[in-house]
Amino acid sequence: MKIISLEEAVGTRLAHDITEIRPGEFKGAAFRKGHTVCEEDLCRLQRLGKNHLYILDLAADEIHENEAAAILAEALAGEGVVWENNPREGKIELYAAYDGLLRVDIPSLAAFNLVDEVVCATLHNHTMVKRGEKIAATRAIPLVMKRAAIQRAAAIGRANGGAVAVRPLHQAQTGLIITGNEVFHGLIQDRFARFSPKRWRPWDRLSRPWSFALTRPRPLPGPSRVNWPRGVTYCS
Amino acid sequence: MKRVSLARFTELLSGSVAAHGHLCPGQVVGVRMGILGLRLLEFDIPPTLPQLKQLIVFVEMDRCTGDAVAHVTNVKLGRRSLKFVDYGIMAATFINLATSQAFRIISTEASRDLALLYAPGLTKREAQLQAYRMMPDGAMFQVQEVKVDLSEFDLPGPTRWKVTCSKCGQVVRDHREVERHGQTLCRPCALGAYFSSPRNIAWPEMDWSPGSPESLLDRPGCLQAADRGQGGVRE
Repeated sequence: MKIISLEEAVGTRLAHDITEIRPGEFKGAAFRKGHTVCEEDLCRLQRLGKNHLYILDLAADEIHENEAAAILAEALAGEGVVWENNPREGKIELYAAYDGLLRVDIPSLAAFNLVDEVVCATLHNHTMVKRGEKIAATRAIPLVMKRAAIQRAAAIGRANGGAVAVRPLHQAQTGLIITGNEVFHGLIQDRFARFSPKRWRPWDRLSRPWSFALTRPRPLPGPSRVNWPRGVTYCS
Repeated sequence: MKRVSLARFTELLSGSVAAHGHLCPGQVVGVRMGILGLRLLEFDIPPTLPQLKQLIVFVEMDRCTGDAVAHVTNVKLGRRSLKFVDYGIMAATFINLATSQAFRIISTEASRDLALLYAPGLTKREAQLQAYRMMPDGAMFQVQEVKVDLSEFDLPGPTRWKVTCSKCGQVVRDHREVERHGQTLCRPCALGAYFSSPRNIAWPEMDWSPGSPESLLDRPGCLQAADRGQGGVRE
């Protein structure tokens, strides 16, 4: 890697994204990798604190942060995870491909994060996520690093089908059974059923529409011997 | 790279435990290390006889792991295919003499901490035993491709060179002698040794040998020395 002054940099192509942070306003790439530096850029680069730029001359066993991030994202992403292969500042974000339950392989993630110079952060394991929701991000920390370390991290992240996955929600048929003589004989009005769907809203997407039934109380048999009334569905 | 089934791994581990004397996390690490070394060299597991003749393994620790590596790879000190270098590092280097390829495999310290994540709810030792069967190679090991310069005097085969120490008279093999002030010396005489104050002694039954009449009587079916007064050889 060679360092050149800004004046010398005019006409050269940037070897990496240059980040700009304006507190409360903007945080992102002011210039993208591959941008050709021109005279008009110099003032802005200086405002960003850049008086020198790097020219990369990668050795055969080295890898650029963006290429590394692409390898890491591909390895970490398991079932139900999508990402855009357009690393920004050496980082790629992973998104849920559909509504579901986030499944993080914690040992694999821990082992991945113990490899020097790579990192992956995720939402908490077993979080309910929606399609398109950001669930994780990974990045290679230095601008240039050894390819072997990235390949090793990728192998760890890839183990068991990817450290980050979204499990589709199980479309279980659900129902509600309310028991009790008083309700069954109409001595009292059931007031539980009308609250239940609202109260159990988080499960709604698990289920088909709720169905309700009132049934006579009966001695509790063994679970396998329950003889539910016809037409009544129940939680599986 | 050749894959190893869980059944094969378990078989290798059982063999290693039997040879070593007990099951411990180091055994599991050593079996994994040996398997990885052979896979990197694209050798069979265990190596075939022609492969074994091309295999040299350096172990850098005299711990359980070293025994397990030797068991899986079938290298032996006496065949000069197993070399011990006392670095105290959980590492071993696997060399293919035919291609000069060499891989140094280092057990990561991180794998010890990760064990409790891979096998939660167990004691650290139990977790290690369990986790080292499930942890991917990448998490357990770092691998370096290295060059190892072996002289012809380090290779398996007959002794190629002998000299006599001009101080103690011991014969020194395979160019392990040291030249000092024009004298050819063995290493203990030239550099000092792990022992000190050597003194020749006499000991009881110096006349014993495995082929002596006394030893022949120890064969199964023969009377022991204490029984000899009561009769001859048993039917």
